[in-house]
Amino acid sequence: MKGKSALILVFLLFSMIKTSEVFGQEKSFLSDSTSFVDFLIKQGEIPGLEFNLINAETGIALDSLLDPNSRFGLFSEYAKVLTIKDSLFQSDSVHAEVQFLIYKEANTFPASQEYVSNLLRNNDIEIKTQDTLNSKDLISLAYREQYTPSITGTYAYFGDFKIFAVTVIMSLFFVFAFSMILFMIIFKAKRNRREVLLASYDEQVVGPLSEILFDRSLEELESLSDDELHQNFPEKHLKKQLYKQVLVERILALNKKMKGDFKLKLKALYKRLKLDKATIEKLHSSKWDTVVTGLVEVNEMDLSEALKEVKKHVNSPNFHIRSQAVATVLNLSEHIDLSFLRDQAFPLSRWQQMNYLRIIKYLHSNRELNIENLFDSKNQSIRLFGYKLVRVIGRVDLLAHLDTKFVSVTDEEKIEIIKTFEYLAVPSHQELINSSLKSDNNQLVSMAARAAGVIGDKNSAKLILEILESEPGFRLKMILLKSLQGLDAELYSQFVAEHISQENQAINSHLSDPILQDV
Amino acid sequence: MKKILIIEDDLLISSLVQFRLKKDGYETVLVKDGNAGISAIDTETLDLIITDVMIPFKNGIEIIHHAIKTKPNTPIIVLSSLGEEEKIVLEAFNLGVADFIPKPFNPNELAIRVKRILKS
Amino acid sequence: MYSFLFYLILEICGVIFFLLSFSVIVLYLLIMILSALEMRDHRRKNRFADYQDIITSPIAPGVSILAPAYNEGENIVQNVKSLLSLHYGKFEVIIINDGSKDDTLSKLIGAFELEITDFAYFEEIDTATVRGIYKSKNRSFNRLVVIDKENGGKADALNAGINVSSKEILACIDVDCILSHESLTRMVRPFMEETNRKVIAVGGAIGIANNCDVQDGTVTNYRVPTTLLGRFQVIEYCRAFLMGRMAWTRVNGLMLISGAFGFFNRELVVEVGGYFPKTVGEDMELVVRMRRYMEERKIPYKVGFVPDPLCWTEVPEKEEILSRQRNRWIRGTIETLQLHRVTRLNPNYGIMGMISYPYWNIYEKMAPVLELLGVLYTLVLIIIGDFSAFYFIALFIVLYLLSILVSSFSILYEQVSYNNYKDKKDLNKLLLTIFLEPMFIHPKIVYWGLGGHWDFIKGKGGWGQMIRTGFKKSDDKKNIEPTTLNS
Repeated sequence: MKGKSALILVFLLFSMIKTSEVFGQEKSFLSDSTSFVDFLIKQGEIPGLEFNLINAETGIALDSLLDPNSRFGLFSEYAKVLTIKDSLFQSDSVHAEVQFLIYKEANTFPASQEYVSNLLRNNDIEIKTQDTLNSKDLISLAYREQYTPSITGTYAYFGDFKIFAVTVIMSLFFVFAFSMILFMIIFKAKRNRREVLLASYDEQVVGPLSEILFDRSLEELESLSDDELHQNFPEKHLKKQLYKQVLVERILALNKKMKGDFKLKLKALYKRLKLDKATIEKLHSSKWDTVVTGLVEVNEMDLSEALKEVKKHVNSPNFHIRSQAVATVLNLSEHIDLSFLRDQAFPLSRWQQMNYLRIIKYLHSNRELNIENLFDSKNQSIRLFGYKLVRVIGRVDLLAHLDTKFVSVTDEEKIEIIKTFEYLAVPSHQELINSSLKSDNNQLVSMAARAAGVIGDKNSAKLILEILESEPGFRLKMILLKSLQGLDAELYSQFVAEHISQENQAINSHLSDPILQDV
Repeated sequence: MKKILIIEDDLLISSLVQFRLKKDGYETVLVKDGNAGISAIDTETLDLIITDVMIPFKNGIEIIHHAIKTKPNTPIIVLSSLGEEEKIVLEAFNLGVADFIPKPFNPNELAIRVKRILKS
Repeated sequence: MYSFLFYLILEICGVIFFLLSFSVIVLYLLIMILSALEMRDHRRKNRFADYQDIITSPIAPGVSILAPAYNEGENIVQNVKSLLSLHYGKFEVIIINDGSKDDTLSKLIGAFELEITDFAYFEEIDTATVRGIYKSKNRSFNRLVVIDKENGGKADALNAGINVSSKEILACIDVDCILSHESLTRMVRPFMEETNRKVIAVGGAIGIANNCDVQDGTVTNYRVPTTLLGRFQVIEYCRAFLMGRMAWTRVNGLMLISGAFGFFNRELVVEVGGYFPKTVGEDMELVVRMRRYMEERKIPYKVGFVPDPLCWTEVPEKEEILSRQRNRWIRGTIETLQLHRVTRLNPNYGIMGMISYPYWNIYEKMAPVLELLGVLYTLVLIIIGDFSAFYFIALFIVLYLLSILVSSFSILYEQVSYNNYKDKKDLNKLLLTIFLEPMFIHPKIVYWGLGGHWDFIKGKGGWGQMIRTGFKKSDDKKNIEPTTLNS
């Protein structure tokens, strides 16, 4: 189909080029008088040649009396002369005769013929019409023609915009369509083949894997001979990339779900199968997804020998590589604190925070992480993450540290710090909450108000009442009242009783509705 | 021979558990989702049920409910990647399951617990 | 003189139609390439994502699911149950009974042991009167909130839900949608992933549940619908979600998130004043307004899209219902574009103003009109015996082939990425539909679209004034008098 369209295209191109007209003449063109007369009639004006009418009987020129248009009584076109001659004959029965003048001098018919022939030969005049051309002899005509480029850049199809557009659209369309279809078909076929292979490998792997894991001890696995290994995992298969991939995926998945000596066995098997070499190679790939795959494998299989390579990726500009590298470093390093995280320049997304948090939550009990390092980061998102960490893993001992930082940080960080204080619910550091209640930042005030309900003191209650008096917005009012209710029930009911408004009533009923508690 | 039903959507885990239990001489029935689990509970005579709480189509709790209602004498072991403090797990305990094994787990440990439960 | 003018107009029309067809072809090819790239990236990223983590992590944002219900008594209890069983940590389900005339509310009260509460309802966004807010005595349904309000339309119901919601992210869905258990985790992810852009909204793909097996909230067995109209919609949805929206996401120019399944940043939604209840295209209008808000304040932002099959819905297979739906869609588009015409070709509005808006204007809004004109033009050419009619027929054939190419590719994308339609027979049926669609269904769609234009011109909805003036700024919506709003 592609060939066919190309053919059509070529055909279209050909039919669109108008061949320029070719002009020319024969050498023996004016050899006889008839053709000369014909030529004169068709050519019209010829420089230097003029005609006059004379009375055939008298030989006197009929002159301008007859034709007011010709000023000198001379005609420049032969055809005109002939018509006037005929009309004279019909109207007045005057026999007129044509007189030939070359450069205003009367001449004979043969002399004029010779003169015009010369002009033609030297290409001093151009033939006006093409009817007289001998079309059979185009080549000789072309030879006679003075050179002018026949293709002057104006293809006819540029002239006809529609044909041009259709051709462009069609060709563009076909080229794209066919290449894309071809690509997709190849892609899909490859994929199908791959999937079939994957499924069959999967079946081949699960059996031997469970068997070897239950039947062999850890030592046996480590010292497994090649023969024994290849009994379960045939050597010819192990050379195949896809088979290895299935094996890696299976071992990784098992490792995630298993516990105890099984984990060790899986790792021993992984190394025994030399899958760790391939893993470390992946870290050098230029494709980000391959690198991440490698990092995940290092992480899951505890390949701490690859740690040096992993650390190179910690500040990678690629989000996925960076996250996975940090997670791996956190997981595998024996002695590492969070200072490397502190020095990260890229902002930390919540997705990354979630991943790091899970790991840190698991690690913090047996590793000196120095979370307080994060508070000094130049990167705000990392400082915020530090405050969250304190909260989530419950490092009450770091609260004093946060308290000293509090005055010098931005409002956004203040909110996060107060949240941590509230969450850990240690009734101290009220000064920091009370000072925030006086802030202009609405968000900070509402956070402080919420915290005051949990860890506030008498001063907080007083401040809350002050804000309530100044008629805050609905949302803030609700938080304030709730906190006040928690802090000092007496003050709360006193306030509600003294300030009767629809809004206060609504909030009061909301706060005392048992179904709405702990939403 | 004792018959054990395993309801687990992860094929690898279930085949591993199956492999391990077969070694101990149990017969096993393997299903992948909640609906198949319910129909297995209804049709098979079972001595033990091992189930995950997060499986396709039916909530694990629903299955436990169903099993306790129809086969009150069949003990149930819950296998889950959720922690013991999760609400859904607590709920399962309240319903009266025999044991809870958190993932990641050790298949040998599971086998020991199975043996103990089936003995008592 | 007149005939000269006539031919001049014909000539100009010819050039315009050629340019249009040419641009359509180029655009579709571009869309195919962009969406393929985006899909590849999406799938790569998915390989490394552990969604289990989001369910329990304290860092994950809370989600308020908002589902308006109007006369849904038949299935409401089952639908709410499946919403409550979604796998996620922090979420609440808010059902808004929008003045149903059937037993929707009483069924809910009965099934979930609801009681009216003293909830302090605060109208951050103006809505029709709220009669009561219900919660369950039973602790196992404590995620459920039911709002009972006077009828005010879908947008108004959603606004009431927004007022009550307390979580960071709003998930606005149709209550009869089937949601996968994983839907929340997967849709929340884009919100968590960006580092230096604010994610304002995330859209999801919608699958067609007609004739499929559904068990406990998941589609277990895919089959193509039985009618041609239904099958056509399968192709259309694949084209829209796997190609169109993916391509737009690639260039961050997504303007439409389906009302049946869209996630939004609550704070921002409230900031711009919530849904605009006066348009039938409230879903698109909200996204455009939110985008405008961000553009006007020069805050870097992103509108995300997740193509994974997470939400399914029954689509209408009857012509009259489908025609009404299409009529509404096109009117929604016209109204939204009218309301926000300030952004048109306005470089201050970035990609939205310079690319998305003009695209929607020409290829979505005007498509039915232009197609009709194109056909008329060709007919005129044939009647007056102009030779260029021949080219136009050739052009039609090219466009037909293009439509087949694009449709088959969208099905191919589906096959490569998700492979849900596994049966060969089903695929053959879809392929047949692809060939028939441009001839037998497309004209109908065009006709219904024209109906939408006609209804808009007639001023259906009766609030033409607002649309004619449009929003000068994105927050203009908030300044509209509530009285004019709810009239």
